[in-house]
Amino acid sequence: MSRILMCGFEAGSLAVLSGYGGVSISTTQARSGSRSLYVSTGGGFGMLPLATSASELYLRVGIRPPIGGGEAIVFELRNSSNSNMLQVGRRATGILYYIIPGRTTINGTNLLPGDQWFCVQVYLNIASSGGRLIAYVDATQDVNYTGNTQATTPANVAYLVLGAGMAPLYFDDIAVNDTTGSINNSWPGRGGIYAVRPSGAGAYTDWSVSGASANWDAVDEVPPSTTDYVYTAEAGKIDTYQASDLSTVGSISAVRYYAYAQLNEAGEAGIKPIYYINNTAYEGTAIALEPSWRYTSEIVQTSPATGNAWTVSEINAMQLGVKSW
Amino acid sequence: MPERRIAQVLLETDKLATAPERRVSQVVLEVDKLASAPQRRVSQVLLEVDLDQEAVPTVVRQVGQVLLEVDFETLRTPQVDQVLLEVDFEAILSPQVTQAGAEIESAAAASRRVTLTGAEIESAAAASRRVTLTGTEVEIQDRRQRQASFLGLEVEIEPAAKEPLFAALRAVPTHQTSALLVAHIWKPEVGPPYKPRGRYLDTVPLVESYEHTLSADGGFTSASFSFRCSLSDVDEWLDDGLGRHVEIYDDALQLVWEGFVNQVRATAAGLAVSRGPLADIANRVVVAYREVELLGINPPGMSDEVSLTPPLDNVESQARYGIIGKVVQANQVTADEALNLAAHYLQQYAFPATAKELSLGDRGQELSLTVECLGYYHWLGFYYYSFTEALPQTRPASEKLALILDADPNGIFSSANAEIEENTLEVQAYEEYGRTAKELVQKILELGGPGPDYARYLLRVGPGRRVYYYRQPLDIVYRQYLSDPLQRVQTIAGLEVRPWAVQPAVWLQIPDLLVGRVRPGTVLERDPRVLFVESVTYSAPYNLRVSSSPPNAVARIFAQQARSSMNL
Repeated sequence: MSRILMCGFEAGSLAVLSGYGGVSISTTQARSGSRSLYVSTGGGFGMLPLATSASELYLRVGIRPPIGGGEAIVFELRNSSNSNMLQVGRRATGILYYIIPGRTTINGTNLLPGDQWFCVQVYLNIASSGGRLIAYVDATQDVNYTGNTQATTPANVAYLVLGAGMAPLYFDDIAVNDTTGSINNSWPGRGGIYAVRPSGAGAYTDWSVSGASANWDAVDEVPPSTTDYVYTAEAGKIDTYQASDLSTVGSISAVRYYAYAQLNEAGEAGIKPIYYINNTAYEGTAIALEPSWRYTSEIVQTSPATGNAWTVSEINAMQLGVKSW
Repeated sequence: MPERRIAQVLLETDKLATAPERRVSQVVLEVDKLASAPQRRVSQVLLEVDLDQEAVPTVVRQVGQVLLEVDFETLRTPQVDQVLLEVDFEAILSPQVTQAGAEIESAAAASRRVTLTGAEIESAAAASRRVTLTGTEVEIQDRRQRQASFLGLEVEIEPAAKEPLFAALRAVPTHQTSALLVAHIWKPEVGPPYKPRGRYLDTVPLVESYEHTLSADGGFTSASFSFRCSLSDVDEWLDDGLGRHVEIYDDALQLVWEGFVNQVRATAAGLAVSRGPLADIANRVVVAYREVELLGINPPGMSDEVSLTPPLDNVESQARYGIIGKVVQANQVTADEALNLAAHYLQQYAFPATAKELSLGDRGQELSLTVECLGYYHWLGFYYYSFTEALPQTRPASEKLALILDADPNGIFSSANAEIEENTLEVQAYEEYGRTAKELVQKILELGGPGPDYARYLLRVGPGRRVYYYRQPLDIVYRQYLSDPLQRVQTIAGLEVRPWAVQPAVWLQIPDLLVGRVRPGTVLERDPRVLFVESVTYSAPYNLRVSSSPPNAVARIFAQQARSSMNL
């Protein structure tokens, strides 16, 4: 693994979270793309699990704090036992503070006025001695701490909890890298997360459609509507769709594929993501479906066609799809 | 592919009402003697289904063989009347019996049951003691659907022109945060719509110098600040500084001022360079002229009608700075001369001017930048409003104001982002001759409200470019005591207002002036101890100038009486 979490809330649904309360998806504020997570009430939170727990990681969180709002927690990192490993909050004076529970509290030096977006990046290496906590607000270093960064055991981070204190508050462009692999193994950078979704018929139309006149039209809603969907009872069937273009240029760090899907009854069957590039359907990882609607997803860091970083032109020319197994 | 197995098989017979369900991994129905042996009982049934194990599962599965063996050893009667074989297909990946052979009585698609009569068992068992169903007689169809209602990608993009992560440290020193203003700076997205907060660029502590002016008519009016910088900063600001969005915050995170960069001045080693002002740019040009009539008139006459050339655009400038319109007034020209003038004006003013002054011999100055800003109220001067229909001839002033805001080609202003208090004073609807929105707004403000009180109305562009148009308030908001050595402005409740937070368009009372000499009940406008704050100019760190104006309803009465001869 390298990129172990990525979420821009562009799917438009809280179902991308593993747990939440007092939050909603905002379409009026977004650091990039067109959506963000809105924490409307104090204590409201949204929880995102990491694909794999890590003791050394790099985190990026886009936050839009309120004007005023007093002193409160903004986000937390929790371990696999759901214990806090790092809490990041904003004081009434507008600076951030970083708490490693039971170990230390460090004040940042940057002002974060309300009602504007900031990119907070954190490097955390959990160790009882020689651990590191480095944070940046936008391009400016906020803290640089060396010491005991191990709040408790297990010494890992497994969950990111957005909110849990301050409100109203917006989050966007979440990314977490661990230090494995050859790419995405350091600072995520100050990029943003944008959506690509079906916009027309693709090369394959093997699946049937219910509730819509065309297959692509059944799977393009944001947030998803289950009144229309595509389906197949057969394995090995492929559906692909033309997809919207990215309007932003730049280098692509990673891509996350989402499908909101289910089985109509319990059993062992599922889907594979399809990336149709240059007339070839590249299959993603097989994903088992459950007999209830939920998001399935995978993070793809490089193009399956080239093995290199994705490019904007490649994604703009690509068809999205799904294959049954 | 997963192996698909039957996890449960249930055999029910009418002879064995009490026989328990059995999970079958093997079905054995052994018949010792079919006809002659008394008291035979089915004790075990095994159904073996050999599914095709293909690399890629197909829709229709052929059952290779169904072997049914009945153990008649303990049967109490010589003949099994009926064997009901019930298969739990749920445990198979996706089974559905769609076809049955001769030995299978029911289609089983609905009931999922296979029923064999005793006679069939008997006959089959007579020879082999086995009932064998071949695969072709049974089909199992995958009926489980995969359903997807949404597909999409999230793509993370690093902007091509992003700043390096480890840019130079510009954190605010902690010891200064309690008394420091900071300027947050963005590169606008020109649009349309024009989005001032396009891309965040930097935060600059305002430790060198800072000044701003707020006005009752306009709101955020102007601001300027200076800071020391590197040569690369000078290059960047001169090249790309104009139009940047600026928000000034205090240490309590309260917005102090908001606007855009109108001009940049840099001093470096004896060289003073300025770029701008942005307000002088013209990238949409129209020439208003009275056409010279050449034919048949000697000397040439001049038309009474004002004509306008079609707008000429410089799209490159518009893509960089937004649409900035200018109407150039020209008298006594031909249509061709007017067009020629428009083209030359556009060529000269489409991009900002750069002025340079070199002063050698003096000791070189440190590198510094002075950024001069204007409030977005001034963008009302960058576009023109026209309404050339015959009707209505008049409309309420507040309604016309809303139309003027909605005419903004950049989308900075709109009636949707405005709080417009109703003003029923009827003003002329017709507008043709290319007056800017700012001029028309000022005319509306000069008129005020209808009689008999002819109230003053105010307009300011507030945070987020929200426009407020409202009747002048009559409440005292601030107090200042002449006897206060600290010269503090206080709220009416006695709370100190820090100098950079003092607002215009409110009434300020000086309670210790003319003590005992003003008759109680004197109306606000005639109370010499009270002034209306027309504008405030704050200079860091603590200097504040407050300008006031006397009530002037007479001016509004004159303006309204004269409007029939004006264009309002």
